[in-house]
Amino acid sequence: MTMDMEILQDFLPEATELLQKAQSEALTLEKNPDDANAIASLFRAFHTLKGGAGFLEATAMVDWCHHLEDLLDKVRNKSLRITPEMVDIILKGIDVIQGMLGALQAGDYPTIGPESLGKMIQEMASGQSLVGASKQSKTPDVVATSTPAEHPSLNVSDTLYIEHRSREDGSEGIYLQQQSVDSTCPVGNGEDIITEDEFEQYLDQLYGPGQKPGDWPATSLNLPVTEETTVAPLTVQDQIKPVPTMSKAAAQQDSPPEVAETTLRVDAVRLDAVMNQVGELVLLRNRLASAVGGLSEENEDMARIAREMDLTVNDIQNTVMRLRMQPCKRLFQQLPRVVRDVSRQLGKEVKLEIVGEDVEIDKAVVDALAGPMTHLVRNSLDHGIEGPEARAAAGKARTANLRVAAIHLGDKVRIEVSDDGKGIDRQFVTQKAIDKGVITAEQAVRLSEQEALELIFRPGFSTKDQATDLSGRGVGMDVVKETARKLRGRLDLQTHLGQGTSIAMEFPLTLAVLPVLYLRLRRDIYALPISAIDSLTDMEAHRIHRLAGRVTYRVDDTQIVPLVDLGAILQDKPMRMDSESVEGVLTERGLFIVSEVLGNEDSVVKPIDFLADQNWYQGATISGKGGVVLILDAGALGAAASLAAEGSVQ
Amino acid sequence: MKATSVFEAGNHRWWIIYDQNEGRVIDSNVYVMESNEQSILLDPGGFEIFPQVFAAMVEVVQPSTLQAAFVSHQDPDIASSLPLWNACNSNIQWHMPKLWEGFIRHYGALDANFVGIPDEGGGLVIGGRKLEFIPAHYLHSSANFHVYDPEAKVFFSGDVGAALLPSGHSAWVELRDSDSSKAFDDHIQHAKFFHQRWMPSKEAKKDWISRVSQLDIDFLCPQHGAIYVGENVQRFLSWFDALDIGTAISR
Amino acid sequence: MNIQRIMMIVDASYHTRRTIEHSLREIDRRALNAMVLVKRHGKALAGYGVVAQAFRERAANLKEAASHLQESIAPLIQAHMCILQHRSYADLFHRKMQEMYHYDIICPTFVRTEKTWERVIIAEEAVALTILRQLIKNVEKLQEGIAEQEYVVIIGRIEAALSEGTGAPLMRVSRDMGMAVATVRDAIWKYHNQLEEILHESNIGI
Repeated sequence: MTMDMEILQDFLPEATELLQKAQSEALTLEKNPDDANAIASLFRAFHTLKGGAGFLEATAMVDWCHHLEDLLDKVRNKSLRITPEMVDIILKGIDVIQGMLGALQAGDYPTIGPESLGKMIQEMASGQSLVGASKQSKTPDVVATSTPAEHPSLNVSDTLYIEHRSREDGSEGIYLQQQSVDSTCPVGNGEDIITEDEFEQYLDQLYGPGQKPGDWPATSLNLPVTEETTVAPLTVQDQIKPVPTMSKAAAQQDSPPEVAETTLRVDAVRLDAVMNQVGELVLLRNRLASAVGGLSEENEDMARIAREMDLTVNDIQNTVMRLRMQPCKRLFQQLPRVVRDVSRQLGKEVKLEIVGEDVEIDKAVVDALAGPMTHLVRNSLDHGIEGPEARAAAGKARTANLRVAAIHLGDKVRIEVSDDGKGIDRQFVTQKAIDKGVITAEQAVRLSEQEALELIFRPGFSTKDQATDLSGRGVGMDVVKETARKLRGRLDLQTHLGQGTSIAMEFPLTLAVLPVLYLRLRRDIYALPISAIDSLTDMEAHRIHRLAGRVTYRVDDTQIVPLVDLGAILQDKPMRMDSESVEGVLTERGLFIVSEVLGNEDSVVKPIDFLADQNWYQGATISGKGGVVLILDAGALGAAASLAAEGSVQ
Repeated sequence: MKATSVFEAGNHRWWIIYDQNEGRVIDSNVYVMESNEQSILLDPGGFEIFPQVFAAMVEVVQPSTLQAAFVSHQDPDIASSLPLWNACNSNIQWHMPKLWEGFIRHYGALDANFVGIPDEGGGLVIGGRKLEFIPAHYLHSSANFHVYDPEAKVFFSGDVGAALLPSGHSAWVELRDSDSSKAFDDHIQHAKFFHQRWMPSKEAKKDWISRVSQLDIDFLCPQHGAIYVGENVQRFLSWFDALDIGTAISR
Repeated sequence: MNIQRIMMIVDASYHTRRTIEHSLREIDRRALNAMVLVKRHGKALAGYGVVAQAFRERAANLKEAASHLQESIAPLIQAHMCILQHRSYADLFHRKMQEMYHYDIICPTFVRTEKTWERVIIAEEAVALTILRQLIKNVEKLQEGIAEQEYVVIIGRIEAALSEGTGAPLMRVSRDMGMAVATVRDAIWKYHNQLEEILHESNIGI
């Protein structure tokens, strides 16, 4: 038996989405056990998952989904009522399916789900553990039912029921259910394996002739259209038309056609290829601009072509950039579950507020940030938010607020995790850092308040003596910081003792293009991301001061910043203001001394992997003049300068 | 001709003016040292190339800052422009071997301000920077001096190190990669005859090498040809040490 | 023209060129600073971005115009130095003739040689004058460029005032730009006057 890889590749992302959806519906039901929409949605999710699993002949998963579907069917029929225990069981069941999907992804057939949990689900479905559920069952309000006779092509032993009936919210819906004639169980319950042909027929009924599950427009499941990568040709009407009993009204209601018509799933690899090619085009555009600028004679035609080319490339770049954008919803959807589980485990009461799910950001950020986001939330629950008694004692509401927000700021997106917990105690953090050997006591004395707080981002720092199973999953705050750095983001920590903590990350809207400033350091040319620069400035010797072994620069009466000598760091030879010309670049990490600033350009980053001390660099680019230029990492250089200052004191 | 920076540290600079356009007279380099807005001209060049030298120099140095000029010896390619410079700026002090003063006046600057350098050498301060006049007699002139700037580690070596290069030549023997001897080996072919024939005294050479090799030199700057930088300074000294000179007699 | 006059042009040219080079560098850096601010603050400063871009482009044009200036300064100085050189020949023959006259000797070849040098010098002075006129034209072109740049500075001030709310220090950047441009304007204006004076004298001389 071999798995159909093509179908698998289509099925997996869809299944993952369904599972996420299922999880959030389950959480909704915990709060509102009678939410009929959520019940229906959850039922459909398990049903669809079962169908897909059957198609892949993953029988263990079919069985598992069937149990859950069965349970939800009972709930949907009002023969059972949702209880908190039931939600627990359902969530655990969802975790099992998650594991099964993982197995499928790895190319293995999932093994049978945990027996005890399976049994609990079945028992719950049969009403054995049911507490106070209404025995009374209400027959669905059936408007039309298609009988097997209307589908002569189907094997008579299986029956596909198509029901057109009122949905719980009062609108009309189409429900499909295939049942064996001799049992009331839907298809694929383990004992009754259907043939491939039968399944094809079933799917044809379900999705339309010749279509596969992956082609199923997400909207017909009321799924969010999360990928911009989905563009184009199927219409829901086309899909649903073969279903003979559907009314016109139902078709219109179930399928907002404008979305369905314009979405298409595209392999991310292809998208990356387009992105890379546009990157090359941008570099080539820069070189053309440079070459045209260098023409000895002015040529109006060339200059105009270069300008138009410039605009067109900018447009392409923007369009392609938008292709890569995804809503933060995908980043946030796992968080309610995390908060629920963790707060319950810790006995804390937490209200989670999510803001800005629709804010879009580069796919790479969404992909890379999932782990760090979970960590930040866990960290806040674990270390920041107090238990209800402690909160009450401190005169706060027993229920803590945890806010996760994505905010659009010009060409940046800010992602914040903030709580109204106890805040971070600087002295506690500093002492812990000394105890852990992260810094020495001497170093600790000279740390500024902010630097002390930011010790939590240092590798090897954990304020819990034993890593709890909450925060201790290999992702630490240092990883959060490193991830933000790699995504060219800046990390900002604000905390007030007793009032709460806010950790914010700012990312460029796109990672495709990097505006840089070219600068000269003696004979070498480097690039510095403009996002790191505050302004360019003259250097005046009398503004340089040495304080406690640190060299600082007084920018004006209100601002004194560390001086970062790029000559000393990158060329092992400090810049000498008295004998060579220097200019200053003011960054958030201090004033960088360079020989000369040359100009700016929208550049494209190429990764580098051949440098031993590449921690100074965040990549390389090709300048308009065609030379390879290293892109400096302002953060790493600033840190190196302060380390060097510490070293010089010791 | 063009002016190029040899050394620069703050307001302390050395310039070379080189690659002359006139091919009928020997190609010469003129050097300028500038410090704190005072400057000195080294071997100001011949009468015929004066307009070019002057025009190239004023691009980098303001002529009114010229305090002094140094004349290593009496040859016309070195000193015959003296009356023209003097016409432009009569305040210039002319430092030259004492032995040659009366000869050099013949170029037509009877009233110019001359300062004779005694045989044992001497020194001068320009804009707070000390320059040393290093005796180099018989290399090739019988009264002859070189100039050393210990701060910039620039050594002006007059005719020693000279090479006869075609027009359009570089100011440097090799600037970027002096670790490799290839550029030096190519270059020194153009210097060989000059030294064999114009340098008369093996003894003078030996004495000079023993003294000069004690100095810390980054730039060895001859009056003809190109500047030796880094490793090539030592390569030149070794090469010169091994070279048979005064060949018109030994033949 | 006497040598002091020539040395004055040489000094004035040197100073003007230094000032222009320095100020153009300054202008370019101010413009770059503005563009960095614009990039950094995103769309809010798009209006100022256009100004900064224009400012930087004009600065590049000014640089180009200034390099043409140098193209005529060096030949002008070289031409005058040639005149100085040849004048010294002519003077030499003139002096020797007088000395010989003192000894009652008349040498007609000397007279002819002296006359030949005089003719050479007159021709060279005409060349120098042509170069001087060209130099003045180039200076005027540079002045036009500066006038355009001053206009951009004014637009920049307006844009800066409009985007006051963004918190970017645009007003300061605009003021710095304006000061850098004013420095070049003053230097070039003074230089133009000096050249005009010399041209006037030369015309009278001929």
